[in-house]
Amino acid sequence: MNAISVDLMVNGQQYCVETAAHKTLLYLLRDDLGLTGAKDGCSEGECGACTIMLDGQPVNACLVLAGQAIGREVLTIEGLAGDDQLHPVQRHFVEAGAVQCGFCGPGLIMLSVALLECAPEPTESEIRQALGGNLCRCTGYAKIVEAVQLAAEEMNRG
Amino acid sequence: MQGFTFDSPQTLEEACQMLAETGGKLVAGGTDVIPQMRDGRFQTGRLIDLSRLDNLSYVEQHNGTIAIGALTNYTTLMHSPLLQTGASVLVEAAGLVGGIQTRNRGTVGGNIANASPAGDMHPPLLTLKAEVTLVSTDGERAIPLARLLQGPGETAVAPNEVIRQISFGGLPAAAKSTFLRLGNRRGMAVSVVSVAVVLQLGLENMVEDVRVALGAVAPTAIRCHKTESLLMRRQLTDSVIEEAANTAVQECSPIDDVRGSANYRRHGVKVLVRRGLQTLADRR
Amino acid sequence: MGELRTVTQAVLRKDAWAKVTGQAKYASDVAVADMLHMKLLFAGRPHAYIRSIDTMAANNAAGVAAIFTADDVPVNRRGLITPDQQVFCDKKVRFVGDQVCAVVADTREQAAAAAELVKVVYEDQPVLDDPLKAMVEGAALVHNDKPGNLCHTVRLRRGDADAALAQADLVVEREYFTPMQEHAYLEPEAGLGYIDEQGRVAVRTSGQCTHDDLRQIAKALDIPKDAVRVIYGAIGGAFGGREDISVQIALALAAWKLRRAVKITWSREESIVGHGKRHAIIARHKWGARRDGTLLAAKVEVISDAGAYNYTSGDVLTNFLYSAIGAYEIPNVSVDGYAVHTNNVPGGAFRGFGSPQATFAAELQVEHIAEELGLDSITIRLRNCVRDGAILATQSEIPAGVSLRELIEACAREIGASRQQGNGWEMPTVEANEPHKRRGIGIAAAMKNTGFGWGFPEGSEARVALHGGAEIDWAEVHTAAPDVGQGAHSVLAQIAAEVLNIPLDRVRMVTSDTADIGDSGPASASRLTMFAGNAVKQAAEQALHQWSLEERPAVGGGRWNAPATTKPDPETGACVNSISYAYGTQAVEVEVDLETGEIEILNVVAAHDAGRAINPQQVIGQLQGGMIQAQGWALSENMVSEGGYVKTDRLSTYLIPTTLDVTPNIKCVFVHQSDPVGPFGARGVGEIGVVPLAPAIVSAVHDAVGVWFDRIPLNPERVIAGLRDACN
Repeated sequence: MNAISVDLMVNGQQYCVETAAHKTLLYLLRDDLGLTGAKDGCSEGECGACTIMLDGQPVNACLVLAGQAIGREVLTIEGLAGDDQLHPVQRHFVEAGAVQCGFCGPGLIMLSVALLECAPEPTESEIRQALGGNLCRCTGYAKIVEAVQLAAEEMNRG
Repeated sequence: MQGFTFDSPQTLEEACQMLAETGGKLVAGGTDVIPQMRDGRFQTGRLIDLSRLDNLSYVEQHNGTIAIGALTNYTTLMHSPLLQTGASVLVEAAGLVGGIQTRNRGTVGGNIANASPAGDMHPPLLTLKAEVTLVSTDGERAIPLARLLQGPGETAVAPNEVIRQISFGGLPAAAKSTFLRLGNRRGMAVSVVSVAVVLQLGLENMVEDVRVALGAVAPTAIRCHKTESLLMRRQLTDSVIEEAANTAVQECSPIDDVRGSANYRRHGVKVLVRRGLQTLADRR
Repeated sequence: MGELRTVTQAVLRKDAWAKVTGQAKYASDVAVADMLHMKLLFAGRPHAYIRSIDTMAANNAAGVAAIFTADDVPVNRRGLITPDQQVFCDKKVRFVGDQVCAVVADTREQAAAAAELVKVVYEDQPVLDDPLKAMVEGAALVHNDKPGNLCHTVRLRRGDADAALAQADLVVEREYFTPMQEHAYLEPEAGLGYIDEQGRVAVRTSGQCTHDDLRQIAKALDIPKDAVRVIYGAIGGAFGGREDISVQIALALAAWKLRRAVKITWSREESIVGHGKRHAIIARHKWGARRDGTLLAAKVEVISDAGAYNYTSGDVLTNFLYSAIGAYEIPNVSVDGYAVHTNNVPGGAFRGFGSPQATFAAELQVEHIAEELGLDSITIRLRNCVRDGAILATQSEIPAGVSLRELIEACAREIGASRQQGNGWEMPTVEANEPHKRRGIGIAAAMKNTGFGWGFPEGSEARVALHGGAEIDWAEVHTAAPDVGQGAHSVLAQIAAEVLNIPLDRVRMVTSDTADIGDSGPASASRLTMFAGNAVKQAAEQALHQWSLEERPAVGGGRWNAPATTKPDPETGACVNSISYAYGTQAVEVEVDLETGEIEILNVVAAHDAGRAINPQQVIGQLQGGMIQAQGWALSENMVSEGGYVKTDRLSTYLIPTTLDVTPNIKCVFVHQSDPVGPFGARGVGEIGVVPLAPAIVSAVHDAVGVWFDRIPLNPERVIAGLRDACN
């Protein structure tokens, strides 16, 4: 198996990982770095459960080759907030009841954080539009959208 | 999945060199290539990563020609003021591809190289009469997109070539355009039928220019030349629109597949072409 | 009862923090140093004899530790209800997901590569993909040791349906088709098999019943139950799809033989093909009514596609004995049900367990009858729906506390219907804004049993330990009850906190480990709040008693036994089939594009009775989630299987609803009729949310475009075909 050396920053920490050439960023994170927050729900970019930020942009980690992440910055769910704290989006997911099985949670939370960074006051329709690339099978999305709205309100109150 | 190597050329020349030496599979956004790699769909084990070629991501205009770098992703396309004014049909289509995450990675060059019959960017690019510039160690050549797309997953891109740029004349202000599609769900779905229309009307709704392209209803996306001929220099009335929609149906050759039947696709072509023309006719 | 402190309050789930921070460990997140990786080889073809299996080349491949075939399994049988499936096939494969062998290697890639080298010589057999054809005498056999392909039959006779039909003012006879549905839980199957510190064969996985998995593993390995251990952690959805074995036995076998940890994670494609689906049902209905809308008789024939193996086909079919006629009291009922083997992916458990399919047909029958008689959708339902004292088709009285009438009225009012002077209700008319669109409204009522019923001895075990001196410092609640996403662990903690009169944060849950606690029964049949909840309540009460006797720690626990139900009479189906039901009525407003066939859901109203909801927020979550699963089943989810081959084995081809497909206008209204059996009066609501919406959508489409559909999904293509047929 051909190996490559991947230097990258994940959640503010620098890593150098030897890994297989064909590996995706998702599996580098999960297998090599033990960061299992990003999930594999479909391996084809259809469910968004693997959403992380790559150089500040939300992407499906299952569709990024590990080598393509060399020299880049990755933010995963584990790096979103400090040890005992929650990012407002995380907290509102909890409080609004948007967490059932939770498997879709990390991906949706990362995407929502990205959304609120570039659109701090999204309408409900804009939220639904933005989250259209992520699947949830448990909640029917209502409480997820509510959570993002509440997080936006809180973050805008500053 | 064993036996893959991974290389990241830092320049386009380097990439061409690698292709010339050993061949390989080009990866840009990875949104098509990575699932195909998982499925064992290609022979070669050499992955050549184009994502470092930052200078291939651009949207520029020179003398009325708009040039898009092959590595420009959908998000960049959607937000380009140049494209919003000069090729809005492309922006419309780009916004419907997948979700935000795939739009942040997928590239226009990759979409062309993948040559899916249902590729949503193809009909708009065909209506724009796009030309594709290819480079290799042998030099550079330009070929109309219409000739580049040859079949499902097949293009005229040679094994040693890299798509560098897509270019087309920007649409005049008087031209209106629209992109319509049908899918089995509102969110993220491969199109069952897609239609791109560019229309320029003169006095009394006289058709001065029209381009109609269809996706997902033939081995590649296609221009509807018969439909366009029928429309040119005629007054765009309801019955002419109806005629055009019927002709477009004759020009497509859809198949039955897991997403829809040929019959429904033909029906969809008729409805969408009619709607597209109607919408643009009403848009003054 | 005094004011409740913890139950009925909208408290936050205990597991949510770990889930939103990425710390919660799902089956595939668990890894140990030095673990091996497994790949299961599926048949990949729907019906064939196995002539030979040659693992030599595979065994010699890089990194391979072992390959396990049928010969390696001490007792090569499995099956939750009927052990009609092999752990590994050695003579025949009967559907594309049949498991042939397990390859174990150092890495995932090596295991996959070696699996490709396993040479299986098959002799293809004719494929049965249509239950109607498979039922015919002389059809090829899916199971050669059986006389035919009939997997189960059920029968019910109440009164005299034929005589009543002959007397009826109106007879409506129609056929309905409901398709397979895929669970599409976001977490594909995965697990880790290993030997634990006590030398037990352990499997850490995601499932629906730790003890059912344990029993099947122990049986297959032919080892004592206490030599096996099953543990669940965070589970990424289940909805019935994890009820039976997927990877558990293979993992246990490998760990047991190799004395090493072995991990597997299924791909989405393996998941879709590898577990049982909602049964596809053909339902033939003949109902008779009086002119005033009173339902007199219902004659029903149900043909269920059981697929290759039984899974839960017999139990799903049995449920039709009461559910086939919907939520109505009908004095003369005849039900004949047939579950038929084919080479399709097996039918298994899926939220609703036959009720969505049964309700689809029954609700549309009611609509057709109403239409013929000139009655409105509300009046006919109010006239016939179950209420306290009603006698079910099984000739037993419905458990007290039936709120369905109030739910129908509440739902009707909320969607804009109004009671008219004299008699009848007027449904609102709705107009679309565009010439090529039409809008319509439809309504449907439903009921769903809680618990297995049908005479199955049911219960749940729990243990509560109270720690402290003068005061209870903290309480430990032990239960095997799995939280598959529905929030069971939080609800059980709330129940304990309420009984013990302590703050919720002093309750610690110790869950889903067979080494720690006895059988809770599965997360299925909407039963955990009621069954595990009562077990926890009982254990907490006992522990409190021990506390008062100065026992420290004070421990209470044991099995809570559910009130008994009885077995159906083989001729009449008569029995006490269930101790509790959930009720619901849902109404929907749709917009249909006449040109493209696209259907948009504009508005949904759901009226439900959760009894005294322990956690109202979670109840709403369950209902909302269920409704959207029903929407998907009705509109965009199209499981395409051709000749036994699944064509839609990805999330890009099997389309579940996204945020863009779901209306923001979903309203839940509640009636609170305490359940006599449920802890604090709670009802089981895990399934009822998914039951009524599909027929409501079909009714709404008819209201919009004047076309009746008898099957789903109503994808755009089917709608256009229906509109075209109506014109011709």
